[in-house]
Amino acid sequence: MNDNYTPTEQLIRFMDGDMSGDEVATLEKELAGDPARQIELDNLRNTRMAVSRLGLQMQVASIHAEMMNELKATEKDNVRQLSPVRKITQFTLRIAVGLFILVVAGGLYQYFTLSPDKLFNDKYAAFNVGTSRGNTQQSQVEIEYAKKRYEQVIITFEGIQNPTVKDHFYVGLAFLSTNNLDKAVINLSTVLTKNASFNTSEFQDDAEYYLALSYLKQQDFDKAVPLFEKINADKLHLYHDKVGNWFLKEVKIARWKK
Amino acid sequence: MEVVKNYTDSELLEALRSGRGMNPVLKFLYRQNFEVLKVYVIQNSGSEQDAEDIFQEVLVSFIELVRQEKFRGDSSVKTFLYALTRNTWLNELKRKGRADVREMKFEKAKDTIDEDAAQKIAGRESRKQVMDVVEKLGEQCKKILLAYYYEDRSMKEIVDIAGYDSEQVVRNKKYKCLKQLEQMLTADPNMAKTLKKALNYE
Repeated sequence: MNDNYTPTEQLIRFMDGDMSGDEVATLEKELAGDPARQIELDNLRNTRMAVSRLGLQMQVASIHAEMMNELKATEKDNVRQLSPVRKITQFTLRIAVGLFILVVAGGLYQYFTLSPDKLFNDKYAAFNVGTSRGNTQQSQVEIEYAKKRYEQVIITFEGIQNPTVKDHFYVGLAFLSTNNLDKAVINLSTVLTKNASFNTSEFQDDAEYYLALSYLKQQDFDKAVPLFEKINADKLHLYHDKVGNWFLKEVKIARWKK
Repeated sequence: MEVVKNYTDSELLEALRSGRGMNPVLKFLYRQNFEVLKVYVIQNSGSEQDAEDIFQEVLVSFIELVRQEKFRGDSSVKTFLYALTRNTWLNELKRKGRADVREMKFEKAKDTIDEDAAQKIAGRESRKQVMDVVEKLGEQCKKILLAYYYEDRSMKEIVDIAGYDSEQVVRNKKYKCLKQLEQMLTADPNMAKTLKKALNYE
């Protein structure tokens, strides 16, 4: 053992690994029989550990300050980068919600205001006699109808012994105009029946359309819907443009409401 | 511009054990873990400042546990840091008398991965006692001891850093500083015991 060192210095040299192999062996032998020196060594080691902890704490603290700046800057960047995206998303969502509300409100309004009468009024327009179809020779019924004298049309029709398809058609329209729906249906149906019998198509499309409207006003949807579907499906039908998909849906909704 | 390096767990542990290139490792640990652990503390009655304080303490404890070979690596570093944060924060809540039933239940339900080591983390009081002891040294003593024991500098380097005339002067000063602390501990066995327990995670 090197006697130039005090006992504490020897322990410090031992702790720091500054001793030679022989010195270590000698000191270890001494320590084994000297509990007080063992405690001193223990305390020195703990002192060294406490210093190391202080160093580590200081190093972590210095990195901490740096990293807080970096992480907060990154957070700000992320917020800044996300902001336009968020704004666009929020704007789009607001528009979508607004549109959704409009669609729902519109749908509810449509549903609650929908009625056969409303649908009828939307689509009904008095037949224009100037539009001649088939036989061009004017009958008395047609003349009265052209003058919009619907009561006179009916009286004239009742005086005819063998009414033609045209007579049935105009009197059907006259009954429809005067809200005598049952007779309107009978006469317009007769137009279709006679055309089928004679293999003709006089006022066929007109009769189908006004018959469908008559059924609609009667709220007889089981008969109205097939006729409207037929008109809607036939692109060459004279009234195809009047019976669009939306109208057909409205008729079906009215049937469902009923 | 600083190159951000990513570490695997084994690279990270190796760097912490050797003490070489510590700063990039610490930065990596911050980038990887701080935000998640901050959320945990804030969600459990803590503030952002609490989260910052706790995370610093957790990192110090983690590095010391690694160096003392008390982190067995049964769990990932991330999981272990989470467990350490949880324990450290719950200890702090208990100390403040704020640990409510929910938190206590959570503590009971926690996993057991490397839990032995994570459990031994000292409370803030014990850690403060350790630092109080070191703070009793003068600035010059701290400078010499830190340079020698933490920064692993040679006597010659310390002569320059501390502004002494020779290595022998530094050696004598270092001896006196250590002796001063050692005598404080010898005079107060209870303090010595607390210090040892806190430093060795016993």
